[in-house]
Amino acid sequence: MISPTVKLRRLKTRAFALALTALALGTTPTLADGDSFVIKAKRVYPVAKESSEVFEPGMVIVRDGLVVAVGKDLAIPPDLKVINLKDAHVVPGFIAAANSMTPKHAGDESVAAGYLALDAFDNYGDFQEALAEGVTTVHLDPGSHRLLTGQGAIVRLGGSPMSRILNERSDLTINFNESAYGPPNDVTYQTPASSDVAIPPGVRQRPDSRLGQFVALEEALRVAESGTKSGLHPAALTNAWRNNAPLRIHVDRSVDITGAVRFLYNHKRSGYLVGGAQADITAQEIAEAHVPLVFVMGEPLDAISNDLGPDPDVVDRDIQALKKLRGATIALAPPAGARVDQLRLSAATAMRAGLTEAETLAAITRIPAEILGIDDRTGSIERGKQADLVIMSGPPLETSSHVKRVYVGGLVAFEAPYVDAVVVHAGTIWIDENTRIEDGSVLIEKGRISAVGTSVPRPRFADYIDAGANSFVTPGFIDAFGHLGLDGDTSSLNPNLSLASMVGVPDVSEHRVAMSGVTTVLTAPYAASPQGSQIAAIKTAGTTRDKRLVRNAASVYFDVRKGDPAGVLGKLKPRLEAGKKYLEKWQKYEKELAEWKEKKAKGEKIEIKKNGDALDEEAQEEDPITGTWEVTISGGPIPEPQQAKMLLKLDGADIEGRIRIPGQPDEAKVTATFDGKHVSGQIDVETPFGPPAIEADLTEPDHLVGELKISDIVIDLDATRTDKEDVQFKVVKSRKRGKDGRPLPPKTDDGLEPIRAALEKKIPLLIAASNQQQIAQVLKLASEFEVGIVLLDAEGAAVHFEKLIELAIGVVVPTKIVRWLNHTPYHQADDLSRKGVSVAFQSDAEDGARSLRNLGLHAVQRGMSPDAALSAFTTRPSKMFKLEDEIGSLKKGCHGDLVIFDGHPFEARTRVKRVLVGGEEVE
Amino acid sequence: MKSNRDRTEIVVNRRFSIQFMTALAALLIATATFASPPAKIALKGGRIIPIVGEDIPVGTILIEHGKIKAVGKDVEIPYDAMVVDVTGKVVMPGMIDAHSARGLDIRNENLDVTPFLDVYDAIDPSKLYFEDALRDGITTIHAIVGHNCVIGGLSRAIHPIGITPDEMTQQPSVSLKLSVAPQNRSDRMAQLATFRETFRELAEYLDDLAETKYEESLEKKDEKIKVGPDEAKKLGKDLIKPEDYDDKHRNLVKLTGGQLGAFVYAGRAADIAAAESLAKQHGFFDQTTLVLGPRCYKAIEEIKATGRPVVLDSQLLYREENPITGKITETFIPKVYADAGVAFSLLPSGDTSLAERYLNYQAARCVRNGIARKTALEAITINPARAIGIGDRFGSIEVGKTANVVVMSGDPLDFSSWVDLVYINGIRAYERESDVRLKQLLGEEKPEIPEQVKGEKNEGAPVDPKAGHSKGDADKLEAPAPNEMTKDAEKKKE
Repeated sequence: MISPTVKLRRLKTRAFALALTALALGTTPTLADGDSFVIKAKRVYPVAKESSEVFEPGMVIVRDGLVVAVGKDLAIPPDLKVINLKDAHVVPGFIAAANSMTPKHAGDESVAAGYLALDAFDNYGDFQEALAEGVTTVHLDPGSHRLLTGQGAIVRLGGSPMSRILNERSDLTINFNESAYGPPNDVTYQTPASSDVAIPPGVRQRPDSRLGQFVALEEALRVAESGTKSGLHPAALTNAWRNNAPLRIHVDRSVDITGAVRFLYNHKRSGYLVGGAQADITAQEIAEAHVPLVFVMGEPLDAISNDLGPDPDVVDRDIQALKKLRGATIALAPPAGARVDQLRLSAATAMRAGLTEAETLAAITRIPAEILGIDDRTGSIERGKQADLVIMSGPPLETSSHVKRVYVGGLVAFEAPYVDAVVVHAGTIWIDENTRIEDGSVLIEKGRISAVGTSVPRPRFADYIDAGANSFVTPGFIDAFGHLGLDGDTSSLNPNLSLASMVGVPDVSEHRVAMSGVTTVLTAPYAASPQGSQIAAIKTAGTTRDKRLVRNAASVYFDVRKGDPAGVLGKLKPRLEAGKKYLEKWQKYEKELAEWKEKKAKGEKIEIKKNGDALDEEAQEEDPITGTWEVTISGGPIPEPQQAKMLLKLDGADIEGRIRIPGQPDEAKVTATFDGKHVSGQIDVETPFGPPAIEADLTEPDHLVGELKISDIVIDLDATRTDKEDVQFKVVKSRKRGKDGRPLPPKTDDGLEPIRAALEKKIPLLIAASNQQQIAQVLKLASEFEVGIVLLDAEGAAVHFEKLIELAIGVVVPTKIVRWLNHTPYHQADDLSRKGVSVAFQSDAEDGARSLRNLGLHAVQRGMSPDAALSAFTTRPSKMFKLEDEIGSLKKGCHGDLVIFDGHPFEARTRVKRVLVGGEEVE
Repeated sequence: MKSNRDRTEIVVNRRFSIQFMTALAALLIATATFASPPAKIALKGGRIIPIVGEDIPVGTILIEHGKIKAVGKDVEIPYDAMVVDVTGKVVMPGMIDAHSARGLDIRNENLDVTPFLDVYDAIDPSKLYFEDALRDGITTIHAIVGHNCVIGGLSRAIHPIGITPDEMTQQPSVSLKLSVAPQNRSDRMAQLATFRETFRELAEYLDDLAETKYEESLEKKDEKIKVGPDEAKKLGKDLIKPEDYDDKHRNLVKLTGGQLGAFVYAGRAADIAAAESLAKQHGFFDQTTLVLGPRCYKAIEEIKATGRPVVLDSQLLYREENPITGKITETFIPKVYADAGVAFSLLPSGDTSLAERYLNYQAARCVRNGIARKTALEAITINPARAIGIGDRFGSIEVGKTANVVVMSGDPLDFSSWVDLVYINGIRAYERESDVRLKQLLGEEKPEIPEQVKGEKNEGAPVDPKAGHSKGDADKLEAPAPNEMTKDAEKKKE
């Protein structure tokens, strides 16, 4: 039956779900296109020219691919979707102003302005490696192997292929470097060649020396200025020169830097330098001339460099140079020959020279944009610029930070592959009652904790949660006895039934409990069956059944509170004995199987008996079932009572037999279990509703009363034993063997399986007891059967504390933390834990479990130590239920269930900030 | 540059080419009866796939003087027609190879800009390729230089029968070959710079020529020049006659003047824009056919917008690995074009050991990957004919068209079907019954080994393919030009 309150609750749940669906289906206005959105992030670095302000938390509003607004707290336009990236650091796309993305051209000409770097650009390329390190814009270079190699271009690496070109002819590329010396002779082939059309000898080209480079260039420029010489390259140079193309001059040596600066001054040309290995010597000159420099870092990070550089006194030339260059306009570029994806990290090494984080970040974003003349479009996150955004997992220049996503022009150009890993960094990490780490991290991979400590691995693309210095991380709380998900069903449960069958997708009430920090509930029925009811350890969050189920049968719940002290064990003991027999059967089977395997391994011949091995005779003192029964069935749809005959045979707790049901031509097989009083089983007959079930009680010797159930139809059953011999029905009980002589396992009994597990000490029994006498009886039983036990409520437990410690029995204390005992207030949890007994808290409620932490608050207020209270929510219950390798602590191997608080969980002001279950955030 | 070793190889191969020429000619004459073909032929009773128009389940094709006179269910057969019963067989137009350098002795010259060349000088009628083409049902081949050039030579449409290039020619001067994708001796910057330089030099040449012509015209009239050079260039323009152009520029003038087709090779998606702007700038966009490398499909939007015919590479599947995740994605390239509604032509593979060498297999792969049967069949017949500019004469079975017809034992997309008969210009050019080499290959006939060849064989020298070598061996004799080899290696690298 469903109570009205439960019905109401279910209705509410449904209404909530419906509201959610309605929301998703668009009761809100239609959202704008893909390149319009709002990003909310932990921190936004606009890298603006005027101020180096960082917004924390920050927001960026993007419309049609352009940044509309950036700030801390902006009004969100109603038509834009909000992308909430609460751990993300957002920086402008990085710009590689010098790189080796384009190969050098294959021409021989020393001065050849007709080569366009853009021709070598594949605008359909996906550039995932560069984007994965945040590089969104690059300068393309026609090469640095000739004096004037051609014209550069500036492109972005994402967006639609046709929109990627920012400047197709951005500059004239000049090299005052040794690499440009000694160009090959320039040969013009006369085609078609013939005997009278000779191939002329090659023309020697300049430069061969430092002097030659200036002569050759000046000469070429004079010709270009006059515009008289025909040919592709001279014409291109004339054009570029007349259009005032900026000069991009590659220089490394100090003399050449001086020469380049003078060259720019003489020709009154705008331009910039690239390289600058010896810029330290000419730093002042560069700064005074206001010539910007794209400083190419010298040390590649992915290889050991044997090139010590020209100056033997310089140990680390990058730092030397950058220190002296303070004050000049400097952009940073990855080492020559290195891939652009090294830009971020090699730039970060510049901070060794004293650059601040803001300066370094600007040197790979805003400053290169200014130098390249694209600062009106990109280089910073400011109103009106392209939304070239890099979403990072941590501070942009920190080594372990990873790029999670990249937008180019508001479109996603890179999305980090999904990695089932998350790192949580916190001020305090409470692993268990003995260990806590200050300023440490937890790594959760594939749902389990794989590392915890002050320094943990940060797998590439893993999520990163920096909870802050004040944060306090604990294992997910465990409700040691709750009813979450039962939806008010207060009936006791059949011992065969597993609660795990009700586990599905978490609903609203489970979500609320999870958000409160309670991640696992030992879910029990409201009332225990006399034969014991199964308890399941179920998580409050998780997308699949497997993720939610910690243990199917975590315990068996018995209740001895109501019985008189002497009769307490009347119900419990036979069940344990039945379990013991069942266990022995299995042990025997396992032994035989082991022997068989050994024999097989040795290659011995295995004899296969036809009738199997004879079963050992079991002395049966008194058999209440075996024999012939006259059955009367009546009621339900049957108009008149009908007679039937049933032959039964009892074997241990199993009943086998046959029955002739009226209206059925043949005899049907009966299988049932017997626990001393109750017969529960089924008749193997095909009906549309499945086989009919028998439930009957032995009301007096030789008399069974009960019912026969087919779907909803209930038929009364009344049977009397007329003969105790199983004359007509003889079961040849034999232990069956498989075809290869392998022993076959005994029949599985779902009800006894958990008892067997308990007897094998895999799980404990949960026994609700209250007074001292009941507890004494339970303790006696525990010793006798050597079975693990957890006591529920157990108000009188304190007297037996020594025994409890000896037998390692824990107590789940009642929800009433302090009660009156002998006219004084008594704090059971505190008392027991001080005495050394394991204590756990329970909610004894469904979604009331969300207030579970309040019990701890209360307990601490009345004197319990905060750490003892915390362990009573985490490590203690997990140990009691032998789940310590699964949940309840933050040690390696446990489930990634953790709660991030902004202080100690038992400070009243402390809030639950975030909850992770199986490494996935509950939100 | 070719090494010395390569050179000797070519010489050796040439020697063999000459040896085979005679043997092959004999074979071709034996299989193809092109001495005085019957004036009227009726192919009767077969299933006709005309490509243009509906299939005819049982019909007759009437060929008169090398042209298709009538097609249909009930065609009246003249009394004097030679009736060929093709009941139960399938008749389709001869397949067309839209781009092949395999009939040439060398794919490319080692100069970048060679518009003065003509494949006429390179076609080697003794190539086994032609025999194979006939056997595979290919009746028209667009013989054109390979991709390793900036501006290659003139191409021509040929059929695989005949013992001289003249005899083989169906259409001379089809197009000029251009390649915007650099091959093994260049890079993209240099490749495109060479194009700009070539066309700039052409303009300069034309100006100079005009000026000269104007001066000459004045000299004839004994007048003195009164105008400046710019004016002279303008005035002289109309005085230029076609024969005035020199070899180097003649074909380029034809190209920019719209009198010559252009087959422009683009290797990757980014090349499409370059090819398009080049063609538009220099006035040959309307005659352009795009020859596309496997990766070009990414620019499908751009390709579609050009509206130009498209020839696809024989590699139909493109595999790509994500460098971050290692995930591999596969694209069946023709599907992308078919889905976008772009008419494309398929090419057979140059590797004769693969099934991809059969055009009908390439079409069958398309059908298997979800392309309509009609589209797939068009891609090996009428589309290549139109791309070459001979769609009015070839590529379908229509009244008035040249009688290039293939009779197959079953459906062309069924891979157990054989080519039974091939008619070219109404001439029975191939019949399987008389295909000696095929029979030898299938072991139906023992090869005759002449005495002296036996002797040579013992010395390890290559043997006359007729003398019973497997086909693979025979193909090795087909003078693989060294840069052809390196090119294939290059291709694989890409």
